[in-house]
Amino acid sequence: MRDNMNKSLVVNIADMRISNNPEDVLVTYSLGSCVAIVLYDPYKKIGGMIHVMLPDSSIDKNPELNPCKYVDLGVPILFKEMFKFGCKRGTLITSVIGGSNVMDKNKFFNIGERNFLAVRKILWRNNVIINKEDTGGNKSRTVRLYMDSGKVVISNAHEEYEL
Amino acid sequence: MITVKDIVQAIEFIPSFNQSAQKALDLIRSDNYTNKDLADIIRIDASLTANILKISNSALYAKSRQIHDISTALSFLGKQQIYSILTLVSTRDYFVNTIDGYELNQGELWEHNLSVAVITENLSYLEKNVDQSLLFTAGLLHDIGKIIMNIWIKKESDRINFLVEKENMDFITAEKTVLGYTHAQIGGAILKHWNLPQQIIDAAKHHHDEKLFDDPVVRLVALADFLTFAMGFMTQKDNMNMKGYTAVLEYYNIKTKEIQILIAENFDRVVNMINEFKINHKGQ
Repeated sequence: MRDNMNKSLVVNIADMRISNNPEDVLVTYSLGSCVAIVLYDPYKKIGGMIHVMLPDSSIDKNPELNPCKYVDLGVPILFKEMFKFGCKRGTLITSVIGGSNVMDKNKFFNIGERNFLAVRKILWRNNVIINKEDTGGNKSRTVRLYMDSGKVVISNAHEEYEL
Repeated sequence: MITVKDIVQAIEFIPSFNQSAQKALDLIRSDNYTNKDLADIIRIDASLTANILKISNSALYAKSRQIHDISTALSFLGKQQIYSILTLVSTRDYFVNTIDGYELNQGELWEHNLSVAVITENLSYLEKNVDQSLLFTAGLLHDIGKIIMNIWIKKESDRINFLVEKENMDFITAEKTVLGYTHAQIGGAILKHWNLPQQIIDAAKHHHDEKLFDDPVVRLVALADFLTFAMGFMTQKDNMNMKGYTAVLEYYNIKTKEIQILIAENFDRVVNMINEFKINHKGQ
């Protein structure tokens, strides 16, 4: 689980990171109903990750205080920041991870699903295809983006796999 | 399976709750004290005093001026804040070591506890008759049972993981099935041993109950625990298969929209709290 060789940059909840250093690993821990959107430019070896928590900022009186909480505000910011590095929409590999649902015995609370649907909607509207995804279910996911290769690795207490 | 004898021995084995802090908490609860009485109890314990001053001067509690002695600190802080700070400083040490039966990275469970504490206190407006001074502490200590359960969970991790992963069982039922007890029950026993107020004991013991426990503190802690999971302050060993939250959400008539609003309203305070008091960075 440790990244001995590489430098880990932690993406906190409602947080975003971009890197162009091939030695970096962007990591976000324990995604539950939250969703991580990961962008990677394989030509320039530039990558970005955002960890959003809620689908829609309209419930918040001051959403601009931390736009990275929300899918509708955060995702466009991630793309804009990547464009500042010279990345082009067409060359970015887009991965979406997370969006688990909190299950109770008879019901579930589907914030995770709503988060994922909001991501899909905003990407679709902007003609962005999701290249890789690992969403839903009821597990916790930690996500790592290796900047040298663009590899996205997902792990939790029981398993680890490349997306 | 673990026995009552195992539990009693384990509880005896963990360091007891800080005596000065305990006396100070009892005094505050009695509501019959002066700040001098309180200061006299706290001053005896140099490390407790130092920690209280440190927190009093932290961004969360500090006003414009620097506080250098305990009497000044107590006169600036309200009863509720003193109660919260006393618990904060005397509880943190229990979570310093990795609780690896439950968390992969050191500090995950402590962050979860801080979040539940902050949110429980913030939700007090949902209840008419509730002793506000208890809320932060009840939230902070609701998972204390995990520090003891940790040892047994590690020993039985194969069986528990099998039930959670393959049988899709929630973690609480898996604890009960394999070990005979849940971390909630053990938590209640620890807090009883420490002589903490009954409502704080009940909050630990009943926060996962499927049938809603009839006490405002338990209800608020259960709701705060759910919101904390929904925000993402969970340990990496948690899956999202949770038991007992439906009852509390129905009780307060909270639906998906309201959940989102509550998350948005509470998140920033939770993050401030965690940044101020975190044990270390995750994954280090």
